[in-house]
Amino acid sequence: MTKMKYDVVVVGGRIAGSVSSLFASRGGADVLMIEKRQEIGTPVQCAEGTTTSTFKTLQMEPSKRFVASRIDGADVHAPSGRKFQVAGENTKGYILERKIFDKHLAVESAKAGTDVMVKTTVKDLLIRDGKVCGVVAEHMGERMEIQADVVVAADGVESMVAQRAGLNTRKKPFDICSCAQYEVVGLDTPSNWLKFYFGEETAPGGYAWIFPKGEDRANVGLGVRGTRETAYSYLQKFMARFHATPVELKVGGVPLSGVVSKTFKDGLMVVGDAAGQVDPITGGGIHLAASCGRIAGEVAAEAVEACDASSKFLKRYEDRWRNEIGGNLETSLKYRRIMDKLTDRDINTVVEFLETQDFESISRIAALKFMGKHPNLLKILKEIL
Amino acid sequence: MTQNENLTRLNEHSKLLKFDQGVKMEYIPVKCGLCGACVVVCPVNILELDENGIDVGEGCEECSKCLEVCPLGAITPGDALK
Repeated sequence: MTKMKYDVVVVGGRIAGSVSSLFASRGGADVLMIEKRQEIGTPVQCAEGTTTSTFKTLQMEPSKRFVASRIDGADVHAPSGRKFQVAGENTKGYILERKIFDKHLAVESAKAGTDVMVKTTVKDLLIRDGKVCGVVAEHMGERMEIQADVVVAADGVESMVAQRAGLNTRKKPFDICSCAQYEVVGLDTPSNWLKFYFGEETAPGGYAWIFPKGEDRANVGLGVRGTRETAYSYLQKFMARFHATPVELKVGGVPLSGVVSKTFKDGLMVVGDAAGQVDPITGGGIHLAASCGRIAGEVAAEAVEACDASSKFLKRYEDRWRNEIGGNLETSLKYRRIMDKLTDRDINTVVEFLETQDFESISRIAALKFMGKHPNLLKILKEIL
Repeated sequence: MTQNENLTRLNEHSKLLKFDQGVKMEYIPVKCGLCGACVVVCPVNILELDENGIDVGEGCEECSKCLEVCPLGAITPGDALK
């Protein structure tokens, strides 16, 4: 069996993996990134929307090569057909071309010194005295043992690596949003505007979306939870409302359970979807994978320099990412639990109220007055907050 | 195509999720989108995703969670659950 040795091994070559390896390499560590597929960036399992802050985190310029469109705001459609508009600094963002973006990140990481192995699957972890100290990987039928001071698990929602290390990343079905999406051509929709559609008919337990990609293209998709019918069949029904030609179909499961209870142990850090670093309301994870990947990469390099990959040292990864985004995720999870309790009628009522408000500056008095008129909504809020 | 031929074709493409106690759930590779949603929710950890599809280990407890989250309906109740 071939044997190798690196300071840091990153499992997974999507955003969380490439960003972790990029910042670990920049920090001076000797890094290997392992990707199970033979191409980086495919297949895409994502609606491709992200915040403007993503590029600040990555210390990169948003290039035309992978930014498909710039977003200024969004329409939120109630089941009744009524809608309200959200537009402001917080809603500015981008729709990416993930195939190109993911590859770009891997290339940047390689330029910074990361070794990359594609078509390579991690089969097992090397664990000594309870400490993760490398991986067993397989490439084209050949097994290899790769020792590492630090292993970063960026292997997606089904994270085998974290499981093997004894961290619990299992999900309940209701915490997984089952998603299907077409990339379509010829849809008449403004290129700087997102559209969200809520309702039991459209997307129970989730929502449907239209994300424009410029050049007459758009991602039209939806996520559902707890349904008898498949996400794909809901997508067929949703698509029937529009005239557009699908050119790609994407499917996937998005974890909406919030973060896993622990994202590190001796010799191991878990990032991205694997760690549940996904906004539980929007299902968006690109900006979170970028933030947490960067922190994981920086901490990995610090651990190598300090010759200390104990869980006591790696805890700083969890402290830092919780400090940076943890609060937002907690709030979002609370709101998701509220939204889970809303009926179509409740959503209609809320949207009718928001229609009359400037979303960025709703006054406390207006909100209280509204709540006073709708005791059932107040009750739901009280139960959860 | 006769009905019999149809059945043979379906069986060729199917792999049983449950090996030990008869036909309980079926995995239909031609419908699979390789997304791994089923892998994440399996409480007994017997599903594994590779580039060709799902590998099914032994010990299925018929909880149907994989079936619930599959976006494409690639996992269906087998004869015994229909």
